[in-house]
Amino acid sequence: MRYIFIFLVMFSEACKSDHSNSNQKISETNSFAIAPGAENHADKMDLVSNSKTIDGINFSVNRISPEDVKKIFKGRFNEDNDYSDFTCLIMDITIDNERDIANYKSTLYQNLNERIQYLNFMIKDFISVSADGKKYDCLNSTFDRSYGQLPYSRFFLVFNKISDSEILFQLNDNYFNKGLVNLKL
Amino acid sequence: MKLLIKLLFVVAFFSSCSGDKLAYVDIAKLFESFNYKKVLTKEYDQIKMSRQRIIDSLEYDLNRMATEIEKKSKIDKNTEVEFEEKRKRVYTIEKQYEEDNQILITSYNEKIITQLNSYIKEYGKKNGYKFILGTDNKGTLLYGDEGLDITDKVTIYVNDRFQGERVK
Repeated sequence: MRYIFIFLVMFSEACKSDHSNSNQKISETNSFAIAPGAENHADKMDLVSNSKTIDGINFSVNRISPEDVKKIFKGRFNEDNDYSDFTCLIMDITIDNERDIANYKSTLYQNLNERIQYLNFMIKDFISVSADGKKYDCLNSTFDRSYGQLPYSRFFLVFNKISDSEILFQLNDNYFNKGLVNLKL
Repeated sequence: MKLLIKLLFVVAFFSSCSGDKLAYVDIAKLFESFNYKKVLTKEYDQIKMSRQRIIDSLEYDLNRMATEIEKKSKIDKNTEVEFEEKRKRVYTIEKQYEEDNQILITSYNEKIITQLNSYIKEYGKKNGYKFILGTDNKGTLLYGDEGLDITDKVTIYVNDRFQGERVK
């Protein structure tokens, strides 16, 4: 009787262990990582997020509500509603083995100057959002380089005002050369 | 009796360990059905066509010049040199475009395969597979039960993920 009981316990453990582990890993990779104490107070925000990992590079995009945009910029400008006519997204990029993406060995942007230039200015030309049959180009992007102090690199992206319907974020990535990154929000 | 129970226990333990989820996909079918492949093929065809148009117009110009030269009974040295230079230029551009097209195909394929592999890996982990084998009808997989063929399911998953759907 004792043997049968041990056998049943071991058998049930063997059946469930692999599945529970893999599900846990998936949920971890898809959760939105927000740095503790991040300046934009993202941990208190109501974010709509989506992410995907391509070849060890995680792209995570989060849509910020107009109320939270106000909170972010409160007290920074003379007028409270500087960004109220815009839709803002946060894009986080995390690489497996390199915390500072400016140090990533990009095939197209080989020296540091080129990489910094791309990350600070050029990247916005490769980002767009589609909603309600319209395409919105990225108006402005701000790269928040943390020099490896944070596990991810953050970009603050600004678009013309988009309705609350589902949006499709598109990054045509040629920095990591992973191609088209689509994320629905 | 005790021996029989022990034996039963050992057999059951090993059979539970060997019950790892395993499946296979038809690589060629998956590759062709992947939406990103269709997007990049369209993009490549457009680039290739616009390059071909440039070559066609240069060749037309060259052929016209050749016809004019043929009509003349006497060819002056300058025209001959000009024709030869033009011919070399067209040949060089043609060769260059051929190389560029090849580089483009390689780069596009790399992007497609990178994304495809990432999504398959994600699918495997999400559904608790220990192995997902790839069959290409070249002998890498000699036999697979049809029930283990998950090509259609994987195709739907990779296309959803490529289009930006969240992990369900």
